[in-house]
Amino acid sequence: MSKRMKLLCATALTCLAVTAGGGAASAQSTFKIGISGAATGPASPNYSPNIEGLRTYVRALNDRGGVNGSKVELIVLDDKAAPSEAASNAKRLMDDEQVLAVGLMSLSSTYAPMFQAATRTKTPVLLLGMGVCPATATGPQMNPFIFCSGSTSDPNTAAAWQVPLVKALAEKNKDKVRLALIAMDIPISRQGVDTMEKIAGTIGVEVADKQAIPPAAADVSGAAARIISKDANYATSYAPVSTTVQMLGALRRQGWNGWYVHNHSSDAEDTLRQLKDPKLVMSPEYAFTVEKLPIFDAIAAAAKKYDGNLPVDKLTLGWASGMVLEAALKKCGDGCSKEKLLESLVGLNVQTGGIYPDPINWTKDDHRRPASFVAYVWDEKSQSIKRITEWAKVKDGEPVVARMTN
Amino acid sequence: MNLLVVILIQASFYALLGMGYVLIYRATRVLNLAHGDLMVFGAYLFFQALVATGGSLTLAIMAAALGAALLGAMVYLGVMRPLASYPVAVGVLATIALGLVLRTIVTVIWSAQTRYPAELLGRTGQPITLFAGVNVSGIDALIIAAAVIAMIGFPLLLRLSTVGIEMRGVAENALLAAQRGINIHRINAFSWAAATVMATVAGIFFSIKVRLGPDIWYVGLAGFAPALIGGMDSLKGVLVGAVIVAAAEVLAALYIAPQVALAAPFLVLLVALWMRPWGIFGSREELERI
Repeated sequence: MSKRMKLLCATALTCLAVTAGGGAASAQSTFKIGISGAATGPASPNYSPNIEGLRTYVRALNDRGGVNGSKVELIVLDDKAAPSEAASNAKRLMDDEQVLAVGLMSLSSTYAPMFQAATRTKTPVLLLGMGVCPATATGPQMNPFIFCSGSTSDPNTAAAWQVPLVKALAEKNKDKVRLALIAMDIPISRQGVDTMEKIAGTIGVEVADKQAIPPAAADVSGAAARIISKDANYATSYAPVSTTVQMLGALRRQGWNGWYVHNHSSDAEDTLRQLKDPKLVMSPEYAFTVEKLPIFDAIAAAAKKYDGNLPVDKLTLGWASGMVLEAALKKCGDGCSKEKLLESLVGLNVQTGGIYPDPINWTKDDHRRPASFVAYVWDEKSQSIKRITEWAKVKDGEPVVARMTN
Repeated sequence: MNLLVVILIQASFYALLGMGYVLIYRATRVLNLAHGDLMVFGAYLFFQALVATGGSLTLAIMAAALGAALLGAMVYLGVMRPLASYPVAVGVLATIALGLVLRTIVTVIWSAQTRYPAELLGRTGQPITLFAGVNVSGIDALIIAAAVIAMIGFPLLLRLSTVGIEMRGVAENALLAAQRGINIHRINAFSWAAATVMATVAGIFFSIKVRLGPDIWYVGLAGFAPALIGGMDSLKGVLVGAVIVAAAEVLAALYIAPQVALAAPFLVLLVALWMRPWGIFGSREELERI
């Protein structure tokens, strides 16, 4: 080999080494995470606050120095809760941006394209915020790339809490229950009330009516009149809060004075505070800010620092999502890759400061979050929200016994 | 009896919405598919005014109505007037684009957060029992009152006032009206302003009664069926159409299933179009002109 040739080879090798080194350095300089969520569109009231909560957490995290000295870069794309948009986001995030993981914060109808892309590209997908953990739910099932830290259990799990809760409430009020089951006319919601109907049969709760409200219904007065005509004195839903607000309003305006138990949603606390209906029960899987946990002060401080315009209760689920993300990236460490992150997620143990009562601890075979529920109402006497039950853990969709606090 | 009241309330709301469609159609022959978005924008103006005035309903309604009137006039002068010489279909397409733009603006300014203006007003959803088994809430009573006022007021305006007579003239024959010295663009802008105010009134009621969010634009489409059934160029037709649609919806939800309620008005609409395509009180000539 001539001297000139040796020089050329040396130069080329040096360039390669520098490029490779530079590449490694840039991979470690930031953790690139994609988010596909319903930032706008009809479902956005439930999901956009989660996205804001996560953004706030990541800003605070980066200001603290990031994870192991590396910043977290969030690439947030709006899917408008549309499956076609989710498919496009999945391609951009997983193929073009080559993110380490994708956080999904949208309706369950967006899961299928995202799950398919996750399997194809072997990219972990975290169901965050209000994500529904699909254990036995309608729609795509969990797979090795899907991890669920979301606050919504599948409809079967929610039903296993809500119907016993109605029964416990009625026993406390010395009422004989005639229960109306209300769904939004979408598959997952209908599945929820179908399961509720079955559970009601097993625990001795009489179902007076079951109905599904179309998502685009401008007025539900007729549906409310139907509930009243069936003499229902309790109602419960597995539906977005918009359906509950619309139905409860229509019932009240027609003079109905029964109890309404709503499944949880990310704006459950705010809704309760705004409606001030003493017989509206919210049954979330996370703690409301009335619990005065120290973590809520931390969220409030961050929201104030970063000019957040949302109240703390709307940011909590996004904040908890950020905690999960930080723990996963910390465990993944330097040179974090998709494969390494996937390994790190199994066995991850995250405490969320009480936002969720149980730690998130994914195993090889179970990528779900333990489902524990609680119930809150508006207390007219103190003009504030108060908790009315103990926390109850639901396992494998088995109905629990709801224990009232007093 | 309570059922009749429920139908009456719903019909009143649909009549308020339907009148907006008719006012614009009469003036410009355009089916305004942005009506729902104008409704949402107006409702947000009301919410903003409510916050600014510390919960004063009267001031907030006045401010929202003024803002809505300006918005409606601006939409005509800025968007629809330049398209006046094109086929009507272009104008209809423009309203679809306008709706999307308005929806985006609402989300950017006010975010997607759900609001409950009723909270700022104190609670108005509690029912008043008129007599045994018949309940009407304060807001429902207001909806009925507003529909009655609009149903009496608009025909009187069209019949007795100068601007109303000019509106009728433009609706009858715009070219002839222009030749007679009527400023048709001023009249059309007035019609758009009035329709946007009507949409805003409906939006205010819906936001107080249910909730306010950028996603409620679809509620505005509920006025479309009554207007078509009654006749797109007939104000009294809207009232009849609204009663038919409301009755179909409520009875379908009550006796069949709530899912059917959504389709019931359009089923009625199909039958109505088959029997009388120009609507119950609509003008046959107008249909041929379309």
